[in-house]
Amino acid sequence: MTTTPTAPDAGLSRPAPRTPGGRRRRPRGWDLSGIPAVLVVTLVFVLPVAILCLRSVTEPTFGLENFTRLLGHSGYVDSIVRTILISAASTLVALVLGYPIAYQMVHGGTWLRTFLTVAIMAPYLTSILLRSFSWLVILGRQGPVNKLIEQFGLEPIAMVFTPIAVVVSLSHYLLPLMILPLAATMRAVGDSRVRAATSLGAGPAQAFVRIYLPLTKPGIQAGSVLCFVYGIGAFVIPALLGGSKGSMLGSLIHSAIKQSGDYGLASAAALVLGALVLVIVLAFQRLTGMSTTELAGRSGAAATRSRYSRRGGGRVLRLAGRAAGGLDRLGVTRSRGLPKALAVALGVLVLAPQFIVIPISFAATKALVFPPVGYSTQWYSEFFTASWLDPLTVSVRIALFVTVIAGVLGTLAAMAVVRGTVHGWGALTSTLMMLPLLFPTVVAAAGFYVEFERIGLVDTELGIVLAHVTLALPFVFSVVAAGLRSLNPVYERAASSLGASRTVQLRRIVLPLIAPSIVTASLFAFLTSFDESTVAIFLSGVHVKTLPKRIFEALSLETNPTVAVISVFVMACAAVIWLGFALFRRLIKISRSN
Amino acid sequence: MRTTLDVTRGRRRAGAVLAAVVVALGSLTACSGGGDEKGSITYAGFGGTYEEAVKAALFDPYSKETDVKVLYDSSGSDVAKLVQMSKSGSMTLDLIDAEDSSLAQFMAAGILQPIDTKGLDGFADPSAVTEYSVPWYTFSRNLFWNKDEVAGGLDSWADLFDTKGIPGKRGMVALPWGILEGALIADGVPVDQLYPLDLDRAFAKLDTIRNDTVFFPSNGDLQNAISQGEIAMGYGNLARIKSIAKSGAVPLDYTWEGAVLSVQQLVIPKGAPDGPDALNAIKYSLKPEVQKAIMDKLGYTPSQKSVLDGLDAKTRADLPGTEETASDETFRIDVDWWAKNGADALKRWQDWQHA
Repeated sequence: MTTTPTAPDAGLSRPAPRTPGGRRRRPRGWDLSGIPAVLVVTLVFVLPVAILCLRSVTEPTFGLENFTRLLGHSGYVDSIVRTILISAASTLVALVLGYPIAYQMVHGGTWLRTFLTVAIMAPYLTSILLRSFSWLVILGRQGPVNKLIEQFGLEPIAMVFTPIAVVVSLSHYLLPLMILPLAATMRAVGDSRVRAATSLGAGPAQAFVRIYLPLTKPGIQAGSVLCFVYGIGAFVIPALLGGSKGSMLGSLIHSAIKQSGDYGLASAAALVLGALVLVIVLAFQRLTGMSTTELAGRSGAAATRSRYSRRGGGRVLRLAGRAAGGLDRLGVTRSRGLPKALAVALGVLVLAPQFIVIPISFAATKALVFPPVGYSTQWYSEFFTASWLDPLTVSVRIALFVTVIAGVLGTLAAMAVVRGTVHGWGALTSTLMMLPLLFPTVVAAAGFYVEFERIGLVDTELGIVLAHVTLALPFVFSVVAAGLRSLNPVYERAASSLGASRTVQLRRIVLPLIAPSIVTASLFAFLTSFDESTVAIFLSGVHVKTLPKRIFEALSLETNPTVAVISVFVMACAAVIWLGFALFRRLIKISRSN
Repeated sequence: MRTTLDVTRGRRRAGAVLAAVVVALGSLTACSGGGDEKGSITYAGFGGTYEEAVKAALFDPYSKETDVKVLYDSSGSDVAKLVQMSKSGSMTLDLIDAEDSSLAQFMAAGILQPIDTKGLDGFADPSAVTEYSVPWYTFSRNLFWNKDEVAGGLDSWADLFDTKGIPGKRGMVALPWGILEGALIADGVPVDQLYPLDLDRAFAKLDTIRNDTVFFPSNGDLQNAISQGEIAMGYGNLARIKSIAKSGAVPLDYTWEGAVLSVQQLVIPKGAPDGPDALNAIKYSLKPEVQKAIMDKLGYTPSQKSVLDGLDAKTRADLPGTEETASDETFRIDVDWWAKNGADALKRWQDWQHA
């Protein structure tokens, strides 16, 4: 029996040791297949961030000068406090709006569930820049909200360049991060216990407050922590909508690096931001026993089994329960339609900003007035000029490289963790793989910039590709790992016993069986890179300009309705893909039933 | 059993994949390193409509004539950043568009290349030429207002600081030049006694309008916000104000009272990848047709005497630095003071911004 490692990726994993008689040792090499991904994340992500943190005490001279400046100056302290407050407020708004939506996404009818899923996912897949543009129009002085206020004879309110615009836009951005863990928890809870409570005489409101709400607490916790962590690291939204009053730590880091070249202050601010996030995540883990990976994977369901879910609630909950009982006796809560109507209304509210850009894209003037003055297709023709098509090409090329590199590295790392034998090593690998997802991207972007500048990678495609690979790895890794976990290792063992080397197993058995996971993972990797704005804003410049960077320039330096055209195209693409996917599934169903 | 054919096929396939990877990485690095070879200069200006105007007036004809490609960067006013870039040896710019005060700080930091100004003459004000810089026009920052929001307009810096008498959101670029001086004028300091700047007094005066003012990171952001009707009045570059007024987005007006004058200079930083081509571009900027085009597009005053002398009184009446637009409160930035104290003032300004 002669076998030769023939697979193209033979160099990436050692060939299995051959022993006479066809018997093989248990493949242990999977432990090593995670090494490339671990190396990339360590060198490209962890190292720059660590060096950035170091710089906060070495720049311009060794000492705590930057921290005394940051924490001793009331202005910077305000900036830190404002960052926390804005993030907390946005989290609260997201929770209040997200809970009713999540409830109906789990317990509502098929039609309602589909509508809400689309309403949540459509904005989620739209670039944060395009959404900020929508809010700029909606909340602007000449926007629909102020038009409505003026209809009532009131003075228009300045919302753009105040924390109001930041909170509105940020909570809209965070909503899916709140809803996904909530919905997962609600699905796990089910409605049996509520039915039991009702059968014992509790009214709908009382059963909800005393039984359902406490049971979904882990989902609320997971969602809130996720939202808060992402909110604290917000950069694009405050940079575009916050002005000086709504600026947050993220925008402070950006202006310190890009405008003042004050790396010491920037790194001190980055360290504070990173530390805030770490403290929150660690505190959350201590409190709930949920792991970082679970949190990042947004699997709130697992948390329902945590011990805290059984801890009913305090006095507040009892009081609320009593109040709810009162409501029940009044008969206000009998209506089953009310929660549904509420969820539909919220869903429409979440989806509406998507569509405001359609009329704007046909505006005749540059002004962002709603409804727009006149009609023209000039912004559509502007999109088809080099000024926009070149950045589009750059973005697609970068995203393709990222997809391939992150796809290969992430899949190998997932194999290492799921099929590996050394437990601690696997845990380390998965923590490293998920790190870029939880850690504030703006801090990482600052680290990339400062480190890449030294080795000449700023403003190069290679630099952006490397940075994006680390941001795409968490998605590839978690999706592929989930696919692998559901794959019974017995197939590989069977192949192995028949003499297949590990590369052959991977190529002929594993990869075909987890192909759907890999396709999903690649899609995520592509979108992560294509959509990515924070790193691109830091790293791209004169020679390399990605589409998000171009949009950011258009939003901050020019008033340009071409951005609305891009939003329209993105929506059209998403609709076509979604319809195509639905059609494809329908066809498969038909062909199967035949 | 595998046959030899299988093995060679496998090897061939591995070879093909390897080749594909090499080609892909090669194309990636080729795309990245494109701009630095000879025949291309990177110019740091201010983005947006300013960049469009400079491109049309200067660089498009220059590129056409010389085949030198021009790349645009918008970090022209980020003085501290540019100084840091030069000192860390990572200078990627060839040509920087600098106003008086940034020039002073560049010179103080010693990051500029001396320019051979032989053969460059005909300046209306030869004293503006330095060993490191060539003046190409004179510009101004003016007080402006949205006519829908501020019916009576502004007449002085005191008006801009009078938040009770003239309510409304103020907008300025987060650059201290002229704003610190303007705050002192509003506080009653006579224009001829501005320097040395009393920073404590200036910041105390600025504190009084902090809640009514938005400071933007760049001229482009400010222009954007004014166009969207978010800003009722403020202090900004005249070319931007005129550009908004012309676009018709909002009805905008400006005054020459309290206008701050500055000479705009072109400079070449030390370590510029393509200094010779940058120098050629500077020489090109002094051509009468370029000077005329800049005046038409930006509304700024040519530095060449021959061009300036050929203008009629009507044109001069709307140009910065002419006798026709001089006013009691019009002033120039004191370059020497900013060269000496600029770095400290900037740091204090940055801290104040975040307060």
